[in-house]
Amino acid sequence: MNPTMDQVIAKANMGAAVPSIATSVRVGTNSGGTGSNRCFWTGAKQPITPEADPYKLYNMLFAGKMTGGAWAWPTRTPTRSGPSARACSTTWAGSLEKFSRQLGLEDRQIVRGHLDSIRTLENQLTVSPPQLGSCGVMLTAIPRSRGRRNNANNGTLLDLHFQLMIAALKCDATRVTTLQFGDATGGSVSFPQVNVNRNWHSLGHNPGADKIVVDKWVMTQFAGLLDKIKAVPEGPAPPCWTT
Amino acid sequence: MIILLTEGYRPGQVALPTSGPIGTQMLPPVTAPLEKHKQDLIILTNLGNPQFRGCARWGHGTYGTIFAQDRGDPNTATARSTGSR
Repeated sequence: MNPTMDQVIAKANMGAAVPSIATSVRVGTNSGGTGSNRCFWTGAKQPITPEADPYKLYNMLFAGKMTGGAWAWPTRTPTRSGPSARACSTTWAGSLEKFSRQLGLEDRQIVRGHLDSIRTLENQLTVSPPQLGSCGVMLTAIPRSRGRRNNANNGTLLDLHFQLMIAALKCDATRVTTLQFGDATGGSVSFPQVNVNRNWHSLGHNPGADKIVVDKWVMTQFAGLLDKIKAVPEGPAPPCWTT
Repeated sequence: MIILLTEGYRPGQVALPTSGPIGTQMLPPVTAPLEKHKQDLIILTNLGNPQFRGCARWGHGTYGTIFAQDRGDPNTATARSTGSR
């Protein structure tokens, strides 16, 4: 299993210093296993687990400055890894690398992928977080009673994730973002917004007129993302933003 | 930017019937919301992954291979390499 293209592009553009950002809305855990639930991979047996909670993602990206919101985690000052932590991880990483030389090719690749992930995290912890002011993101909270598990919120959730992805790109917190809307089966997604309460999987097998209605709704959300991106003023920006 | 529809689509409702520039033609019903952005879009249909050689999980397990140059279902890659499929 090779890395997915987002990881190839991220590595080419950012090295290991800044992680790509993976988000999701309504990724289920039903049929198909990990290969069905995870669209993005850093390598063999190295699936990327996307963040489904926009408020948690907000806190991760913008250093805990978010204090409200239905799913906001408690505001906290992120722990920054100091020299001792880095020295410690360097020591055991060396041991793990030494150990991996005794393994077969496939297992060595898994260990290497694990070490790359740790180094990315280490870099993330030692780099100053982006400043909120430069990103200009303002999330709109939705009531707790209509949380992430309610399909009626899918439009709002997508919009929140779009805001975060754009803000992260805008302030160069990353240059690559991904968003999964559902998993490979689509079994967790239905569309009460347009009065279609069958799931996406069912609609694929037996589309009827509903399939066109829901796909049009999805394209409407995508158009909203394009509107938001085009609304970002041109100016000093990372290269990927303007290409 | 890439957007992928994994749950299939209704032929004729997403892309124009002919290939080439979208130009001044109106987009079909499903992609009509993208009308004002159409000059920035490329719509590709009828794509497949010839590298994918199995349907151990009906193709659902190919999710992780869609954006990778790969042939296998991540769930079954190990099983295939050991010949136990």
